[in-house]
Amino acid sequence: MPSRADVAVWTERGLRLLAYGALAAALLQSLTARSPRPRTITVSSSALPALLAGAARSGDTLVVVTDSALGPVYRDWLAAARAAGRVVGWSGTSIPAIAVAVEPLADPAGGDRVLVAAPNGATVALADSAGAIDSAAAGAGGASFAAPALAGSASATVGRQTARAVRTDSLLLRHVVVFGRASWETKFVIAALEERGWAVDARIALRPEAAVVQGSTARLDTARVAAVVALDEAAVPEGAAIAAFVRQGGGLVLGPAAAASATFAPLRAGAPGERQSAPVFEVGAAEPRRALALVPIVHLAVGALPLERRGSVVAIAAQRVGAGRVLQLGYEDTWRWRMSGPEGAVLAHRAWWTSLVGSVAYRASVPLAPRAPANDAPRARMVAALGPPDPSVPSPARDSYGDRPARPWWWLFAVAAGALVAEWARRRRRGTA
Amino acid sequence: MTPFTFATAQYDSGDWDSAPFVPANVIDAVARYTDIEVTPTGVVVPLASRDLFRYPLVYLTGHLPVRFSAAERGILRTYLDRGGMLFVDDHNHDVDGQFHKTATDELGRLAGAPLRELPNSDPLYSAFFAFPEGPPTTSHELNGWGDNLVHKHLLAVLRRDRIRILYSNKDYSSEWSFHPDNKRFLSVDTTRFAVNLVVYALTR
Repeated sequence: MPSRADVAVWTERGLRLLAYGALAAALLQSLTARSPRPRTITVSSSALPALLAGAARSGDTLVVVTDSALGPVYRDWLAAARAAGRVVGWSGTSIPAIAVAVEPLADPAGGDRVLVAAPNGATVALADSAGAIDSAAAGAGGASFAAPALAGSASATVGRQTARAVRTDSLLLRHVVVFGRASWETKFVIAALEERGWAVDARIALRPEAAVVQGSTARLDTARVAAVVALDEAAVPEGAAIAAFVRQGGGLVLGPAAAASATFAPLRAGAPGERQSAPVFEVGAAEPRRALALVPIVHLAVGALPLERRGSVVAIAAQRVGAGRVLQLGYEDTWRWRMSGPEGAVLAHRAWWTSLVGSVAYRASVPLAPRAPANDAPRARMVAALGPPDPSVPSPARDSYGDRPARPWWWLFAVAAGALVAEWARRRRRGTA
Repeated sequence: MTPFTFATAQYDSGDWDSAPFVPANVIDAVARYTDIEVTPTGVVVPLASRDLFRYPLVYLTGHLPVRFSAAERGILRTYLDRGGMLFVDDHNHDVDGQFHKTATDELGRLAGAPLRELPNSDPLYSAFFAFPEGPPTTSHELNGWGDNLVHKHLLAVLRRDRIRILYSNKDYSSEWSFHPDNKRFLSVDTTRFAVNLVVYALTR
């Protein structure tokens, strides 16, 4: 029968052997362990923020099923993971393809034009950081809004998807030069533009060798002048300079009497037709230009666009000439709108003339300080960052990464440590430690 | 393009038609010296009518007290707000006369401020012909008619540096109201200042 001392020695040896065995098993485990087989994890966009940190540490394929495009933070996170070698996909069949852009209006009163690309017929709601502004149904070319002053970013919403953009540049407004005979039309066109805030230079012809000159009309150059308004035959002596200015990138508004001159034939959008009297006498609030006489624009040039019609005839048309733009007007004596129109006619006439000049004015833009990137085209940016969507991905049944079993390596270390501590304790009791 | 039409204001009080030859002489001067398209005959337009808005320069004169009706005042106020210009001439040439007292009172109420002297450097005096001394003197001033004064300034109400109301004690209504046939006997055409007035109205 073994003595108690022999039993103690065998016990200690057994414990040491157990510790060695556990260490050997752990070593073997670490040498032979393989990564777990990657799986495809499907999550909804709403659950993504909570799960993204866990997903980033795993090797799984990640597919995000979303009903609206992801914001820039999560989109960029997934794009970074994709660039690092992870397989990332997305599905979002219901996300509308929308985009928004903001550009400053060529208007001394300020304001922005918000251009929204959206599916034809979709209802577009426009807002800024202060709240809702307007809504409109998108046409074939989307929707366009003129906003007096945007607070922060502009957001356009279609369904559940919102696109946001900020203005990235501002305009340097330059002078407008008006050429015309001494007439009420010349006087009130200048007045309307000046009252809106334009710096107007003018040459008003009184007779061939005499004119009233305001400011400087000698040098037509886009470095100083944004647009020329040629109202009548008084602009003919400047025809060559005006043509060069337009080809350089300047804007031209051509009145019906000026358009009738052969000098301006290469620039005009169409030929002047037969003068029509106004169909109504009183200037009304709804359609004030119906009370104006009209010289229709006929035989439009190739590339010219009709911008406004009265009945079946073209009243305003525009075309590009060189680097500049020409807008041809068929209406005569627009000053009657201002003087004889209903309440608000002065403001309406002023705004209308500013819109005509602003639509052709040379745009000298100045970049604004860079701001945080906005989500201006959510779906397009998703495609650019993550590739095209995969419509075959089913909706996620459960958003979780918690079903993977824990790896059993820790208890081998506990066995080894426990065995060594027990051996050491027994040896101390025997007084041999 | 609408040609320029010389319009004379017809008002309820007073003798608005006291200078019947003025329109013909002003029209003749404008046509003679400039290429401005001008209607051969003038028109008379009631101050209380919206027809006033078709004529952005209107001439008003008389000898008798002037009191505008509420309708006349309303139309005139809108007319001036929209850029119309009112030229008023005292046919009496008399700073203490009834026309002067009542007209300046009415015009001040209409404009919301009293009329002020127009500097003789104003663009009005160089709009076409040069009048470096300011408003040209009339024969009635030099003959001692009325108040026996030569008025060195016209009065005006300006908005945005543009004359909206121009008021004269010079009695241009007499000076320009000669029979057109007699113009040939004038050594200096006295209607030249009327050309400045029309050019100013059409260009500023």
